[in-house]
Amino acid sequence: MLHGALALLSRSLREGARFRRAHAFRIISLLIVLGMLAAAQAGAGSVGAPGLRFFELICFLIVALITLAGFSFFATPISEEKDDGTLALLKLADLSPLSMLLGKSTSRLAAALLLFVGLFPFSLLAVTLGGVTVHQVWSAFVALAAYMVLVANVGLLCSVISPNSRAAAALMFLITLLFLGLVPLLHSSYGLYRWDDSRTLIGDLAVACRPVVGFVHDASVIVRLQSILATGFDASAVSVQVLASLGGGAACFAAAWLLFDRCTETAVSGRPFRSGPTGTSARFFRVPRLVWRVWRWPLVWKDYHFIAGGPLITAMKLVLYPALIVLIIWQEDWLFALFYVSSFDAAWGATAVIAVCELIYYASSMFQHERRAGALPTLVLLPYSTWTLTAAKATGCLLGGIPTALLIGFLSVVLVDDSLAANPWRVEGIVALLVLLAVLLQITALNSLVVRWGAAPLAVAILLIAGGCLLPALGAIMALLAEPDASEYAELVPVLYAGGVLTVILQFLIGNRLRAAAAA
Amino acid sequence: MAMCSAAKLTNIVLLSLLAVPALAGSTCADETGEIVIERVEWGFDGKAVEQTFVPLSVLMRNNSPSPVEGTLRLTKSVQLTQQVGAAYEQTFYLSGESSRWVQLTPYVIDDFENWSLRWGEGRDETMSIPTPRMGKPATVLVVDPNIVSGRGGAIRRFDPMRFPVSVTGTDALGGVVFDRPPGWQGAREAAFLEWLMRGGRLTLLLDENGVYPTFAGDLAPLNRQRERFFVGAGVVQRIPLTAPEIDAETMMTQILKEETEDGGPPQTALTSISLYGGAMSWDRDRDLFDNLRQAVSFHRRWWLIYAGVLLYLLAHYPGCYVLGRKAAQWRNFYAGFLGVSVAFSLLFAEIGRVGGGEANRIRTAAIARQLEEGLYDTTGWSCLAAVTGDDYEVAHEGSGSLYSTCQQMERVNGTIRLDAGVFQVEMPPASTRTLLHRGRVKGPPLGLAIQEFQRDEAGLSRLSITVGDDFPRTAASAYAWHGPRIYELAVAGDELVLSNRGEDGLSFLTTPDYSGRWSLRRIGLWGTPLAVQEEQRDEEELFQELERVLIGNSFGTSGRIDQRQASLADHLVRMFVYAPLPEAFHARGPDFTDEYGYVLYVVDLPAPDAIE
Repeated sequence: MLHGALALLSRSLREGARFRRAHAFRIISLLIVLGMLAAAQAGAGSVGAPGLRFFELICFLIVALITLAGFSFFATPISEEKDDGTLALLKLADLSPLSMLLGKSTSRLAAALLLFVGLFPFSLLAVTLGGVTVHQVWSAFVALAAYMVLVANVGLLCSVISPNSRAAAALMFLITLLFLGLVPLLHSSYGLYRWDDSRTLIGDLAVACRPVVGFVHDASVIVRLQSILATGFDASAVSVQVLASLGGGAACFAAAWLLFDRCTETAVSGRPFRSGPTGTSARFFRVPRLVWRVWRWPLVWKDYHFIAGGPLITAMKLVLYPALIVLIIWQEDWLFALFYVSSFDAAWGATAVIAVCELIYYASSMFQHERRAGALPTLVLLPYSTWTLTAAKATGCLLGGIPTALLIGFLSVVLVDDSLAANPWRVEGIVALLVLLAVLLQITALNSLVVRWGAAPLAVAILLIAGGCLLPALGAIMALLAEPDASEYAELVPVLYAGGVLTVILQFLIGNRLRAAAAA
Repeated sequence: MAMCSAAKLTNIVLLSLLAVPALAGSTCADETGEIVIERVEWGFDGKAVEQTFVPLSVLMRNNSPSPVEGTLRLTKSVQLTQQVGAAYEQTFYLSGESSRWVQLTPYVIDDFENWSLRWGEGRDETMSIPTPRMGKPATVLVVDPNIVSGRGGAIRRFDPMRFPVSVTGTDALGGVVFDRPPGWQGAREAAFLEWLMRGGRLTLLLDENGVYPTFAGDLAPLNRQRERFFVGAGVVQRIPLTAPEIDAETMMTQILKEETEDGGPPQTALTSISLYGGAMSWDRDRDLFDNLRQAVSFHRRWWLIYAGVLLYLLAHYPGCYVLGRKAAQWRNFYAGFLGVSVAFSLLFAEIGRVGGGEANRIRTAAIARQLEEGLYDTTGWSCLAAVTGDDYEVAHEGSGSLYSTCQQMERVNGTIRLDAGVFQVEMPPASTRTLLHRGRVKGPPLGLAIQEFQRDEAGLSRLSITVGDDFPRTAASAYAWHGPRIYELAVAGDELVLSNRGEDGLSFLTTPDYSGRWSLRRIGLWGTPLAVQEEQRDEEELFQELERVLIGNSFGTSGRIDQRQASLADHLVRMFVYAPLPEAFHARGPDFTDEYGYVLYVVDLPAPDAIE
């Protein structure tokens, strides 16, 4: 039984050893880390512990990449077979659930761990730069490996129980938000509750959940890394976090194994995707679906209804967003107590997060919708230029962002920062972030034409890695321009120039890729 | 069924996330607001000077009937970052229903920094302090703010009770104006006198009765009945006007000695010169810390590390690549890959370690300006290196200690306790930390005195200086600066004498080390060997490169060099002696046992034929 179970896994491992792409990926990763190491050494004169700074960056970059991979790479091994309608074929080939789980998921975990192991020797050079010990590097890598095992197997479970890859990714996102967002929030509330005598409902909730919240907090990879990177760390590399992660991963694998047959009995595939409540969710919310007649601009109409969600979602946003702002202003004391942010910063921060998430969603869905449905050739055949097609689709998506635009306009009038004009560096920061966002959206759109899933997480990962290598150089150029006699906004020139060049290149690549995908 | 489960789970999680904030109530205690910050003032005239310790005066009021004590905590950030550098702390005590000024003295690098003050843990017990405008050292009229008469005029007023209690806090002060005695005693009076003797400018005006102020006690030497006279390196002048009569033009031409807007005759020539044809300006700290960091860094075999990195890359490609493509068994690839990773991990871990013989150490370059025989106003640039990660404490002998990490790049987990004159810091293993120290320290008396002095139109023609018994015989070099020229000194018997006719001081400061002027000296001033062993050679070379920087810094040089900054009044001969750092200037405490460095002694001697 075991031999059969390992057949698919063995095949995947053999491919990992032979395929050029796998080797190339490993080498490129090594070169990227080497580049970051060289940058850290070059900047060693400015900081007291350059090795610690470099290793901190590496650790949290790896956490971010593993988490992003959880939404895509690790959350789709079984669900992509459901999407393609090939799961039934695999079952027909008499492959056991264990074999499929090992072959599809564990092989991915093994490939990721191999990449991880390859980075370890270079990470030890952080000891040479100064600020960390070998024990700290080893302990951090053990913690990260355990986290990867946990994420991979939680993703596997989501992939098994979800009907398709998008649902699996969404479920994985919510679980991540729960454990990396809600739990730390409750933990901080508990800490605040102990310091402050006044009784509050959130404080009581935090006390009631204390045992669970406390355990999950101790098992958090971020908390563990903070503990490892503190000066004087000499505890064992095997900690509660490592054991909990490995145990959790094993439990999720076992659950996926047990639920596999039940959750894959009626795998549905081929249904065209549509944003907004559908099926059971629509009945749950008990609202009618509003569908207008096709407009004079059918592409705009289509993307507004099928990607942006149509009038129903727009109406929901027009209610929910103001409610969120009211909630923030109402609870400003709580926000400040926990996060030291004012209601002004929280409102603008929440708006920014909403706007960015919406834009990323639109960018990742804009072409992938047609690509999954196999409608790209038909789209390209329309008597419009590639630019017109893209502009029409983008317009349709952006119509769904009208509530967000209204929210930004409202905040610009009501919650205006009088000091913004007097602080050129804040204006520069905002402009730089907008340029970064524009680049991210274009990379996401390009990725959606290249990969089957995970366009947005991959774009974020590319930006994180490329940014880590290029931003210090850009920052150095900006610092050279920061002369007392120069204009206040002179430092923006390299940022705008780099953004402009990247935009031209990415637009060219998107156009080419769109035509190639349509021709495929 | 699976779809139902997944959708339900999604809906439940979504609703839970939305519900949590709604359950929250206020968790902050109601603040009583017993401590209130009424005013915050930077420096002496509301401005700061770049790369200088600048007093920050905070007027605190206690609204409650009972006394309150606590700690003021000052932190800075740069643009969008969190805290950078270390935090400053100053304790305070306020009697019931009273106010008083509390002063901190942070190091201000430039106007990119944002400052925050906190005096408690509550939400209302913190405030952002406006970033100070940058300017030149201030010239202020020191007068009690409660005095009503004598208002008006162009001179900025300054409360005498805010004057720093140590000379180390007066770096941002350029000139002082009195029209009446300031009413100081003790530490403030001593700080003022030391500031004046160090090169301050004092202007005496008439009071409302038309009479110059009369001083008592240690300030009595200011009663001399001359229009212009010298006190040490400082100059005192009398102007027969009252403060309200000082207009902007008089202020500029007679008090500040600046050129007027209408092009009237300037008091001194002003020439802006910067290094390397304008490409770089003088930075007081950068060159010093760069060299000190090199001197203090632990030894690493970088050539071996680079070779190891190259080998590792080759082991992966083409090594592991060929193994993966050609090996009969895929298991061999994975075994080889893991073997390569383990082998190179052991190699990098071994060659990257700090050697067993290394210890915590400090390397320091300092300027010690003589206040009186055996007493110095010191400025020390240090770089600390710690082998093991731990909490460390650094302090120096003497009084008026001020510290700064001179950092705008990273947060420093440390605190500068201003009242105790102590720097506490957490240092990771094998890491370094820059530290700037100002202090008023007792040191070895040099016993310098001019024995022979002659000058002509070209400058000094003869100069002979006798030295005391405690003069460091291991000194590397000595110079004399007179007017705009600098002269190298040599040993003749038991005296220091001119060895050349000198060169232009500005050229001396601004010429980079390409000409070989500062090639490594192996023999010191008194013939003592300097770089004894080969492993000390690199350190000696680094310190000798700092000699020029320290001389420039002793003039307060910053940014574009002002001709006036590189020129001394004719009544002075400034002696520079560059010698190894004596133990009196070392940091005290058991944490750093290996301390080494150099100090530039600066001693102002009156020229025998000086005419006032």
